[in-house]
Amino acid sequence: MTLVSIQAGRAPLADFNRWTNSQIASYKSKIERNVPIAKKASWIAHPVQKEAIQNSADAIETASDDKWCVIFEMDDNLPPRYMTITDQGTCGLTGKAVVSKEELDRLQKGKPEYYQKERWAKFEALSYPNIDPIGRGSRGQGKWVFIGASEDKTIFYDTLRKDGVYRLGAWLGENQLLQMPPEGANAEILLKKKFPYVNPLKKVGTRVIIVNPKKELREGFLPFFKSPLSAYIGETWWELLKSGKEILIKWRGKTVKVESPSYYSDDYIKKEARETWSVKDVSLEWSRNPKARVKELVIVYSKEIIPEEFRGIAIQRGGMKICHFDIRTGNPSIKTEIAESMYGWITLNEEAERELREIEDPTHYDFGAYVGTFGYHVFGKSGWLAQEVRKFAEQKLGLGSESKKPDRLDIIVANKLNRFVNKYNLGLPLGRTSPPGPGTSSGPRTRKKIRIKMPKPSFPREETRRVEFGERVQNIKFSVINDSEVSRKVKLSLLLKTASRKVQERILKKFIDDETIVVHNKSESATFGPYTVIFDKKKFAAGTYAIEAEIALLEGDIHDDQFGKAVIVDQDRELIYLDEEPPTGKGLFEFLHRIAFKEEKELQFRVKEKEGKMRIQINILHPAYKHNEELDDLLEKKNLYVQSKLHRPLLDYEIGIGAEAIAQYDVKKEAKLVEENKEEFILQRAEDKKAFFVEAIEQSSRIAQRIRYEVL
Amino acid sequence: MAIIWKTSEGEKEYVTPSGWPLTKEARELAEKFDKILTKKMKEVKKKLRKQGYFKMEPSLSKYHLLGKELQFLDDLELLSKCDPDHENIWRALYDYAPKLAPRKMPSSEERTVGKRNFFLNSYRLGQLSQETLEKMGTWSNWQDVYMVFAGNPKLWEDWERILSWILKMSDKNGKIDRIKLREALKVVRKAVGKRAKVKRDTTVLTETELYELLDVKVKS
Repeated sequence: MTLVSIQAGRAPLADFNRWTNSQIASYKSKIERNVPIAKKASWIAHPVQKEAIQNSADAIETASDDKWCVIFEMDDNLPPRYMTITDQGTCGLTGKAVVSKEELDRLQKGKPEYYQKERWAKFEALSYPNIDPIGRGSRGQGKWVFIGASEDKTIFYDTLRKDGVYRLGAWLGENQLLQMPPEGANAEILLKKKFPYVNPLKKVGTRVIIVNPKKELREGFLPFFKSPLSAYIGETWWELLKSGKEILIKWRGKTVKVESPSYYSDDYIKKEARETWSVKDVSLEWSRNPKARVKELVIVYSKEIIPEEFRGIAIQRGGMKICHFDIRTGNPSIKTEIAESMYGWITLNEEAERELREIEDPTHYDFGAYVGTFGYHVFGKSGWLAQEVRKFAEQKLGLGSESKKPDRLDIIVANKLNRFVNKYNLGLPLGRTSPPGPGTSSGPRTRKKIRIKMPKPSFPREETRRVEFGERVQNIKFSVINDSEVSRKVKLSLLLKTASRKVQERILKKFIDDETIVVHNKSESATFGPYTVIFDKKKFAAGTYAIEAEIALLEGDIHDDQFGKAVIVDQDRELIYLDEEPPTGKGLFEFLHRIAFKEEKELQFRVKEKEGKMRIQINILHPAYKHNEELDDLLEKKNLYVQSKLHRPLLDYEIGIGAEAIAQYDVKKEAKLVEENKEEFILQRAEDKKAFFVEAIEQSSRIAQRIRYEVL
Repeated sequence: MAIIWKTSEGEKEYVTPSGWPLTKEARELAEKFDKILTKKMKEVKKKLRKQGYFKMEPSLSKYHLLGKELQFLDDLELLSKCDPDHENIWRALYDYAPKLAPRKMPSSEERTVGKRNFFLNSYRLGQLSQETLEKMGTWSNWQDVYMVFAGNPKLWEDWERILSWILKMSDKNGKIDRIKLREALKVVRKAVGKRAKVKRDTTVLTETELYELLDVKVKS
């Protein structure tokens, strides 16, 4: 038997090793990002099972006498010499053993039904797509996982077809493909020669033999009765398993039948669900394919915390989990502790699955969701699924509507606007037209003689004190200034504490614990720090925290209330908001709301007044808003805010609206910002007893907003 | 870091110290602690039964007995891993030994540990020596004292010295005089209570300095 190197398929392999390694690396990075269940030690078992079962499920022969089944089996030796994946109840690798590239191309274009039957050739070739719209696999990439899972980059595969043909093929590393795969007795002889303990197939189906499996694959089998491989199969193929399909794992004469995880069973949901949300056969309203529909969406809010690997909504295609949809996508108001108890699944009809396949990553672990795509429409931040989750949260869990919870961006805008209005002393209660009298500003604060100097630490994002899990607050520094005439001996402490009103105050970390120092008169002590806090998800719950510094005097007359011994002369704190929004700063603007205007759809915003405060409502249905939102989303996906420090279009948009609101407010009320002919302006305005002037300003603004609605 | 509370439906609720997330490890540890605490509280009940606790009328000395037994919590190694600052344990004790409390858990205790938590109150009482207990005399005297400390938990850091001063100030023939006690407590509140005009860290003062500070406040 001769082994000949051939260039198969459309993409010739310039460097087989590099090609295989790069394929495996892309699987690995996707798994690290999207598949929490995959353990580092056995990660490769995850794509192996996914690709193997996918290939097999695509070849199910409904007319077969054998029940469909996939068996994963490892050689008894440790380390194993090989591992096999065998299926039955399928059509096997049909088609001729050798089909030229030209012929495959011709069939794909002209005779798709014949093209689909050339399974053997497609399995051996590179990059031939599965053109079946409901097929699970799509690009013929799966075999690279099997090759990559072998230390020798070597796999054998044999198939028994219902016409009785038995054939054996192989990829033998370094671009060596068995050019004339033996059939019948020759195939049996070669198999026995290579694998004395492996028998030829007895039932119609296919088998892949991964030679010298990598450690990460064999670790997937052990411990055998609680193997990671079984968990991976359950997580990926729960839908098939639930429908009664059989997948087995075998080793040393023992067999384990893979079960669907309990979370997907009706019994579990009945017993453990606090609330559920179920939607069946609804349109996705995807304009490019109106037939695309959701077959079923189920969201469960469980009584217990759901393991990370099952959290979120499993996005299913062809019975296979592609990835999960984070519950908090587009719904940040759902608290982490609630999201941790939520899971579910979404299945799609054929048309919608076809759309999903278009944007699916070749690894089948992710899909693109850029603006304008099906992925964005269904799974984007404001997409169909996020809206369903929101409905569930609002209607069943009683959580506040998203529009009522200020987004971080809205808080930043409100704070920026408040800084401006406070600078110009704007902000008397609306309705009063006289400028504020003296003393409305707080005036300069007298500095303490002995005080703490604690600059604002470095937050991950300069504009907000909000911190996400895994992020850190750095540069926590602290010194003591003594402006008094005598040296002072002080005790200092710098602590990290909980600072939420809802929970008991508790010290979590002591940066400086009762340290004694002497600070000379008219001087500053040495600086303590810089310290860092990493907000690890395993150590911190979402909430408000404070870095608190305190100094107490250790000398002095005990009866002296200012500089006496034991007097706590200064305290300072820096607040940190972990996984929650900081409150808006004080000022004329209370908050900004983004809501969908049901009436006056053509307006971009409204200003509401309540107790002397301004509340700006921004219409999210206005085209000007939508344009900015899309751009904002795109830049965020490209990570350009972080990399290029670009301005956020939505922030600029909201600031623009805020600026207009301030201008209108000032012109109507205080006229502090009017610069030209100010006195004459105020005089004329006072004479306008019918408020025609005020009306004209509002009309002008509304007209401009309507024009934008129509033009954009 | 978590311990188990039981909901009114009898379901387990895993409660972490403030700021701590609930992790799988924390839950497993809480389960372990649950077993230990169940055993320990059984022992406490057995011991108290022998001392006649369940037949005694409600009194200061009865709850002092309980408080003394509860001191075992300080030495419980696993508690320091599950509830290091003794935040949540007091509410949990209602689940483990409800019969030790004079009445059912008040609804105010269902979701949180309040200042008036019976087990916390008894635990603090159990820290008093027999002599101090005798001087204290009645449960209501103890409640007045306890509430001053509960109002400013920082005072617990220096409770022994401050209590000594209170007892000294309210002493009348070896017993506490209620009027004197109330005056002394007023002074403590004014000098080092939560709403004191000047905040002080009394732990840096010597005993003489502390008492001098409080004495002067009496005069003023």
